[in-house]
Amino acid sequence: MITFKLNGETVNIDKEDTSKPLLWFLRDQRQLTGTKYGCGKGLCGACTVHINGYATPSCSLPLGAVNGMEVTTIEGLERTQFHTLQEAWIAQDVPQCGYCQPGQIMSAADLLAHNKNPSEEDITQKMTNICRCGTYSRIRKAIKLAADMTSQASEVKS
Amino acid sequence: MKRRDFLKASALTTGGLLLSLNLPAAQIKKSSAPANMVGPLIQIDTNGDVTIFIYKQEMGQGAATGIAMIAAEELDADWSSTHIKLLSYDKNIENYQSDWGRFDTGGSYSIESEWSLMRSAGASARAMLIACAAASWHTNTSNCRTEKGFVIHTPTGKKRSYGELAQAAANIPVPEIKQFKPQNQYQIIGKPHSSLKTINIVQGILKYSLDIKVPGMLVATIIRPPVLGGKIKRYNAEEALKLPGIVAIYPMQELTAKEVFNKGIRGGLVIVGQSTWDCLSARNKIEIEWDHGVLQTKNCRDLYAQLDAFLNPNTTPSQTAGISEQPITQSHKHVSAEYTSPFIGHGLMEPLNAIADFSDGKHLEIWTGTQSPQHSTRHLSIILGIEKDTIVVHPCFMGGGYGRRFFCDFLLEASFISKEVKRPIQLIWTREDEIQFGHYHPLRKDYYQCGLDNDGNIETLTLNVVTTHEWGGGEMPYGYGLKNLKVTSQHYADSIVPWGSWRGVVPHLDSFSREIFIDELAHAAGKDPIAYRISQLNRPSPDNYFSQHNKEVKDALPFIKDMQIKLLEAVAKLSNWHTPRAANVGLGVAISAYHDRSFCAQVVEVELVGEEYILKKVYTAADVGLVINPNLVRGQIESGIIWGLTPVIHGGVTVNNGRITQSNFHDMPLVKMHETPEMITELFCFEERSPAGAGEFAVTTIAPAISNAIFALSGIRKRHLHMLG
Repeated sequence: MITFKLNGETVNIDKEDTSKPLLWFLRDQRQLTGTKYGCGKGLCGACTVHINGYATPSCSLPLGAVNGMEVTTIEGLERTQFHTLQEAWIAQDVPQCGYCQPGQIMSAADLLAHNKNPSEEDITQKMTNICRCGTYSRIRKAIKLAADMTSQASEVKS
Repeated sequence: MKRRDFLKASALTTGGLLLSLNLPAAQIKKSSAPANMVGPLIQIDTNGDVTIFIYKQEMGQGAATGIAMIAAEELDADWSSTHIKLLSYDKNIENYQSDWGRFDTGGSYSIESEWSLMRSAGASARAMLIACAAASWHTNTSNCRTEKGFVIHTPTGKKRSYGELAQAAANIPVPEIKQFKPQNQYQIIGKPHSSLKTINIVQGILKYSLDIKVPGMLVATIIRPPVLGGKIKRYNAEEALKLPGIVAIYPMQELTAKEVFNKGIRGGLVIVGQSTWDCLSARNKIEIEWDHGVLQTKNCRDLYAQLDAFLNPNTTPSQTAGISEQPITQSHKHVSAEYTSPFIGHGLMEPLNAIADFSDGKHLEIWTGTQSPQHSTRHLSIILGIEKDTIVVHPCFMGGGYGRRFFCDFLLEASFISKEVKRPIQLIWTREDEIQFGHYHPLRKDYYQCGLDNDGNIETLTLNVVTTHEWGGGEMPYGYGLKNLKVTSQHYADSIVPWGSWRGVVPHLDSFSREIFIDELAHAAGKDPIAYRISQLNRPSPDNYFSQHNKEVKDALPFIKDMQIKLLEAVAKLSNWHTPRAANVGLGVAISAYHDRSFCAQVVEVELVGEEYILKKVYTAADVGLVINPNLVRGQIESGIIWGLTPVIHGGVTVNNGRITQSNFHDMPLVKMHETPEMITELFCFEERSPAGAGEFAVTTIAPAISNAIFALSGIRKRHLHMLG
């Protein structure tokens, strides 16, 4: 029996192949198709989810490994409104074909959750997801915009 | 044939107006076709929502949004309540019988080709709404104007929304539109609106065909022969068949075809299962012994010598001017050079996939991301042996097209499997499949020779192209003035892997060799690369300039020359071309004209860091005529730069022992964030003209510009497309 949290809800699995990658469980058993298949080898980032708040590829992560963890997908990033990153992504109109973008946003969300004011180098180091349409310069702008939006919001609060 | 004759209005059962294309029965050739084939264009609902129906396929280039903006502008719609809907391709839709048509998407042609019709549609709908409102106010249409989804009675300010008027407007005869909205009144066109897909993409709810499930569907994957022409000798699937989720495992025949956009299928071992993971896990449990066939000894590096041996300079030329056989030895100075490119894969982020329901062997329904619903249907009908009008294609948004999705191999495979197992089938290609069973950018060699006069001007120019691409090379005309020209092109057909369309297609390699060679000429003439290009563009072209690609090439040349001069001047200014850079920084320039209508001039800054050349900055000056959406055009320019940069840094794919060496992103890397240069772009419109395409033109200049920058920096001339990394 495997138990984990998925976008805030508890999931109990006992009749599932525990070697099945999390990616296919999410897509086929939970219809959470926002997490994408890109390479199956953890090389492209299209399948990025959060495990306990940290960006992780899900395409080669077996279900057994997420027992007791908190899994967040793009659908669960922000359930009642857009996450600041999603707002920034919309403001910069980042996506083109869009296929890699949920994974990009998940990687960026990890970056900003643990580094409120990332430098250019921080962004470059963290954002290793592939975008075949080449939207990298807008991804970078959107991350900086989101960081600004978040710090302005917390200034207002304080 | 006037567009307006075929516009028809009808009322929707839900209330509202539908404006469509409607072909008269007399136009329909095939007798079994229905008499009222329609092509929906614009729908206005009673709540005022406007839906623009999109024929073109959407792969990230933004065509759907751009097309909607054109119609919405002339309609004077409220953009915030304008939506898009991709049309299904089926027998009831206008132009269904044609093998080529509006549904097929490529060549950077969508906005250009949809421009007139969608303007007419928008303007017609607007005129009908005004007529309707005017009638309701018992006034003249000249007293009415429109604004963002409302008709307004100018003298009194009273207004009625399009939603209120839509149903009655359906009864108004479709008017003749004599003039369109003047550009200076544009409210939507020219604005940097977001793509209409973005909001759904960032939430992860935009669906690609890989995300769809159809009731009763099984999943399939194929283990294909690694070498083209190979076959299964024997296989052992015993272990795989024991897996609970596996439904069937069986061999599929290869199919050879030699049509444009259909090169058949490889065949191989089909695995059918309940889910994707069931199929993927089964792949590892199967042993196959292959008869690889004759191509198993072939390597791509041997091909270059084979192209040399195949070269025949006496091939009938495709472009000539002056005295085409004039030898360059008659000129004062001679320059020659050869340029090469490798096979390159696509690396589409969404691997190829399709859902096909051909369960009864008679009716075929497909859900897929494809660039060619219309043209693929022709191949499906012929090969599957069914009437075309039994086929329905539901196009999906693509996770990348780039030319690869114009081919129908994966649609044929999915259809065959569905027929065999009598169930709807979702065929999944793995990343490895997508890399190894592609239709590749061609391996090609360009042989340039030039005779320069005493002042370094081009006298005699010769280009011979030998390419593994069926369409050849050397199709772009020369704006550079010259006295004599000869261009030949040969297709080396014994390709060891299939050729295909790769974003930029023929102009990509035409520009690559040309813009390095012109730089070599500038150097031989002792001139600045930009000043030299401008000087040559200012020189005349012979009266007898002929091109088999364009019968009106002579008429096009003055425009091509003028635009290129203006853009070279613009990019020189944008990049501060004459400002000296640090000793380890070099500048390179390139200019190109995609389909003679989309112009792009780039200057790049390359820095030598240790022993590594790094692309730091790209300055782009571009002119695509009227810009529908500058946000989307800029996006395409940046996208094109990254696309063109990828093989420069990472090369392409290699073929060893007949098979593609690479298998995933560890050995076929793609450009990432850390390799992305700073990009500075300026859009121009030097001459009022209708929109030209932006999807590919910025790809064609990046590689030659980088080669030229490296030369400026170090004196080393890189003539192979893979030049860094």
